Amino acid sequence: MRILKHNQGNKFYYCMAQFPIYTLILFNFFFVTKLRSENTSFGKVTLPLGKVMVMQTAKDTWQKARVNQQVFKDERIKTLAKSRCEVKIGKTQIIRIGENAVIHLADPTDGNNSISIESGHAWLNAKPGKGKKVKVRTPTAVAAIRGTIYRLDCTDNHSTYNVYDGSVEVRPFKDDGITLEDTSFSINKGESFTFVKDFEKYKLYMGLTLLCATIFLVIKYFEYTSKFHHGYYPSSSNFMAIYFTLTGLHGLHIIGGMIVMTYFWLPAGNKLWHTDPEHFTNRIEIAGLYWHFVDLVWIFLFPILYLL
Amino acid sequence: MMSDNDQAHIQEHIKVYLTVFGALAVLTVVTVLASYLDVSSTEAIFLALAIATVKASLVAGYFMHLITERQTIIYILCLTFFFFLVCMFLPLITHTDHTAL
Repeated sequence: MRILKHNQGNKFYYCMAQFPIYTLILFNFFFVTKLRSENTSFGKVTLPLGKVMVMQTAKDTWQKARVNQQVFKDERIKTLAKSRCEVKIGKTQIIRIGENAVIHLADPTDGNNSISIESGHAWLNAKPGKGKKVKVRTPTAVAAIRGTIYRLDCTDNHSTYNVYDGSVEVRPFKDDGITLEDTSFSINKGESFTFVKDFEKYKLYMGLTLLCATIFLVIKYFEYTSKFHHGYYPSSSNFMAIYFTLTGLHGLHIIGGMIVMTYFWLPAGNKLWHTDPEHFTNRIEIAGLYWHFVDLVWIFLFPILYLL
Repeated sequence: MMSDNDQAHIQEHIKVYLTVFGALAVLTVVTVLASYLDVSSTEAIFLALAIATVKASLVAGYFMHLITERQTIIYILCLTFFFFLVCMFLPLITHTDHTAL
């Protein structure tokens, strides 16, 4: 007991003696916190596995991330092959970053934290809480995490969302890549949606399809006029009757398909892409199914009518 | 809406579609070449229809996604094919009716 008392007494004295130093450290701590709070902590890197790099503000070099390293706004986190890490924002929001990803902890413009995923995939989990929502930006769209769990894969021109819980509101960028579309679309629990910003390519291929259809019809026009010229009419023979009925009906199907696809090709029809891309891509998918059905018919008609 | 499709999957799909397109083009050439063969018309019909069926299966299976479709849809299509055959043989029944009379 005595020894203990003695020690305690000693300790107290020791503490008193060190007081100025403690005060200094304490002051220093406040000072540092003050400095840091100007550049508020975004979150911290927990569980960096493999090669996870952080590029700090005002630095051009990547440095290996430490466990529980604080990350700040405007910093970038990069994962290399076979690497991953977690970024914890606040108490409830977790972003798990997969391999080969680059994440930019962007500066908020409207008070909400914003993350830019430049490429790679991430898994995002945020429970509803008092905390502000986090905006997740990809090169093609912006979504918010608030009470949702979803996986996100993206490159320069596509973003894929796999929603596990809750629903994600995604607002795509306009063609300029800076301003957002007026309307957003939601992806619900269990759904998956890929957003591809290759609208120009769509217009090119759809245009080529329409061109091919036109070429087909022009060939049929010459064929028909040549037949008429030689005095072949549907009334000429059984074969001619069948020939004109089958090719004529096929031509009508092609004209019908062309009307629908021209509508989707023109701005009047494709404006739906800008308001509800999921709806629009579904329409194109169905139009494609119809077009392949018409093709299917021709696969049988061609050898039967022209070769046999 | 397609499911589970990231960029790699899309690239894979495009590769499959291009392969199928190539196969269809080759089979078209084969059909045309086969028409020059010196065979009886029955054989020619069977040959042409066989190649056409292969091509049609490729289109329906890959371009129309039937290969990844649910079994139920495939059964319903088989039923459609069955009724198509019935329709084709319907005139034959009336033919035998006439001969019976």
